[in-house]
Parts: sequence; structure tokens; C-alpha cells
Amino acid sequence: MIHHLEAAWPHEGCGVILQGEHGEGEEGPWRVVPLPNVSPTPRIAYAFAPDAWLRVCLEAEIRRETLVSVFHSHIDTAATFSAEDRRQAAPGGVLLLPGVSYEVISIHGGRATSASSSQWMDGDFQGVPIPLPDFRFEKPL
Amino acid sequence: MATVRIPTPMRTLTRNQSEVQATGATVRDVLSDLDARYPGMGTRLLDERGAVRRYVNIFLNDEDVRALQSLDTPVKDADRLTLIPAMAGG
Repeated sequence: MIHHLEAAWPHEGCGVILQGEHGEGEEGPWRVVPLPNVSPTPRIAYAFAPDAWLRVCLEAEIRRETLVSVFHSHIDTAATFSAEDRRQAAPGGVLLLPGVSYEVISIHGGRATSASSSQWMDGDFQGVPIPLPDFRFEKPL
Repeated sequence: MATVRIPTPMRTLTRNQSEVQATGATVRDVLSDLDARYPGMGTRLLDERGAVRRYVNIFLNDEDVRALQSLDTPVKDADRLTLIPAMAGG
């Protein structure tokens, strides 16, 4: 996720995290799926490419995966779930994706500098900062 | 009848069914029939002027209806409509 968002800079990157199951309700592996940002103003906004998003939804159903997170980056600004993020995630106060968390990662100069995770609780989104090292990993050689 | 795939957040309106049947000659007609069968679907999908809400994507056999004839797109019996939330933010 971090690699995708840093590569997308100076535009916002976006995508989803899905979780599979091993059977009998046991949680399975997580899968990060970057999605094209088709917002007409990609430095300050994101919008999932509808056709790619449809493919992910259909594929997730076949693979019996659950959508657990929607992530996107903020460019050279704070990693807070913005008013626009809230408005789009719950238009008219109705959640588009109940039970899903929203991760925002701040990218400054092409590098991730901070992150937050927000979830819907008590009628609004509540966000908490996430220590960025938790996201970082190196691919095994 | 066309098949309509329902996204998870809207399945409370379709008694938890992930796929339902609805009839109509156009996308508009199918959505109208869908609302008659499952009250509440109409207002989740269409605004007060009857246009597709911008946070909803409607696909006809994997093609975004906005790239076709939107609500006037013809629908055949064997067609499949898929509804998914349009994800965006700042």
C-alpha cells in the first residue's frame, strides 16, 4: 500500500484491502489492491476507476474475500479523514460501506510521513493516528 | 427478467439477497420495478430529480451505464445489472 501511494505522488493514490477466509469463518490472508484514481483533480481528490472497482468487487465475491479497508493518500497535507472524505463515505449520513475502515496516508515529496485509520462510530467517523512503521516492510530477498 | 446484483450495504433492503430479479425495457424501468419489489432501493439509487446518484455505479453486463444511454439504456431479459458504490474522497 505504501509503495503504491508513494509511486502515485504527486497524485493521490487509492485502493482497497481485502481479507480472505480459510473456511469455517477463520480469517485468511490480506490482499492489497491498488485502484486507478480517475478524479479530474487527482492532487486533491481520488475516485476509484469504476470498471476496475467492479472487477475487484466481482473477483472478491468469487474468492470469498471481505472488504476491510479503503485507503488513499493526501498530498503534502495531513493524514486526517477530511470533511470531503466524510461526505463521500457517508452521503446524507448513510454509510456506503458499513464495517469498513478508511486509511489515509500523508505523502510529502513522494515519501509517506504519517497515517491515520478512521471508522464509523456513534454517527460519525472517529480517526486514530497509526504509527507509520507498522505499515512498512521489506520484501524478502 | 433481468438479474440485478446487489452490493452488501443495500442487501438489508433485499432481505439479504445478493441477486434479485426485476423487469423492465430500460435501466430506468428495471430500477423502478426493483423499488416496487424492494421499497427503499429507488431513493438509494436515484436522486429527487430521478438521476442516478453520483455515489452509485450501475453496470449493464459490465459496462457503466453512464457510458451507454444512462437510465434510457435498453435492457434485455438475459441482461445483468450490477450496482456498486462509487468510491471517492478528498
